[in-house]
Amino acid sequence: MITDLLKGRRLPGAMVNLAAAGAANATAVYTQSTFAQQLGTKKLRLKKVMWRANAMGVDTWLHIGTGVAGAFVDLIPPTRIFDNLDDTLTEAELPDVEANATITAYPDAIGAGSIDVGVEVEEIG
Amino acid sequence: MDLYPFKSVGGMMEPIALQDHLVAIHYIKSVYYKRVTFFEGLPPFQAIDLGAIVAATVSARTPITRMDMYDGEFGQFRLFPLDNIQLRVFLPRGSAKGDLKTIQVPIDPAIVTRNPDLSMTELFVWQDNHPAIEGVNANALAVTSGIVIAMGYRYHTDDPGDPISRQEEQAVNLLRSEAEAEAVRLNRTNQFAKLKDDEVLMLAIKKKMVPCTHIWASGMSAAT
Repeated sequence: MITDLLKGRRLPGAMVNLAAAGAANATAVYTQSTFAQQLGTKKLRLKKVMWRANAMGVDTWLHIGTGVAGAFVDLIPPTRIFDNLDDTLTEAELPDVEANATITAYPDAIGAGSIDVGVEVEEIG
Repeated sequence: MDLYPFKSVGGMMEPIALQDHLVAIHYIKSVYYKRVTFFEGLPPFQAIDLGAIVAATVSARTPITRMDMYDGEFGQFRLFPLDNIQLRVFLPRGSAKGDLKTIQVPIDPAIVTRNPDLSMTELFVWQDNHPAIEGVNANALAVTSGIVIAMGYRYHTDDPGDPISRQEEQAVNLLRSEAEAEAVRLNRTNQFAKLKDDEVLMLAIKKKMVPCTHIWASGMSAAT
C-alpha cells in the first residue's frame, strides 16, 4: 500500500473583504493555527483563489502572500483585478507554494469599493 | 496464531481473535481470561458528535457511550475525526491514551492519509467501560459538528471451559502427568487430581502453553 505522507486536507478559508489598499493593510485570508493545544503546526499549500471586485472604479493588482506591511512577501505573482468582475485561480494555475504562516492578501488600490477574496488551502502536517 | 493488536495487512483491518480463540482482556489491573464464542464486523458508524466547537477551543471530555458492549463482550475499534478537529482519547475517562512524557498524542484528521487503515488508532472496549474523547478545534474558524467515525469488530466471549482443541488437551494432559510424576517423586498427594479440566486449562493458559491473545482494554497512563 502506497501512502502520500505529504498529502494534506483541503479546507476553505473564510470569505474576506479587502477594503483598504497597501501592504500595511494586508488581511488574513487563511489563518494558520497557533493554538497551543493543537499538536503540530500545519503548513499551508495554496490550492484555489476566488475574488470579486466591488465597484472600485479602478483596476488593480491583488497580492497574496504572508506577513503584513514591511514583512509582506508575495507567495504568487500579483494578479490583475478588473473592476466589477470576478475570477478564479485553480490548482492547475497555481504554483505548488507552501506557507508556514498565515496567508494574507492586499490590493495595490481599492478606489471607492472593495474586493472579496476566498482561498482554499491544503493543510499539511 | 498470527493475530495481534494494530495488525495492518494491505490496508485492511483484521479481527484480533477468531471463534474459539482464547483471549486475556486486561482492564486497568484486572485480567479476564475468556474464549470467543462468536464475533461480527461493525461497519463504519458515527460513534459520537461532539457538536459545535468554537475556534481555538477544546470540547468537554465526552463519554462515547455508543461504544458500550454487552456483558461478557469486548469491542475492537479504529476511529477518525470526520471534522477538522484533533481527538484526544481517554480510556477510561481519567486515563489518557497516547500519553508521552510531555504530550498526549491526538488523532489528527490527516490520519486518513498518513495511516489509512487507522491501525494506530485501535482501542479495545471491555463491556461498558467506554472511552471518552476531547475534540481540539485549533482553527481560526468554528466547526459546526465534531463527528467521530468508528469501525471494528464485536466479540462475544464466555469462560474458557474445558479444552476443545488438540493443543489444549495436550497441554492439560502434560500438566497432569508432570504433577503426577512430581507427586510420586516426592511421595505426596497429587494436587492436580482434584482439579477439573477447565481449572488445569486455566493454568496452561497462564503458563503460555496454549495460544492466548492479550488485549488491553484500558489506557496505561501514569497521569490521570
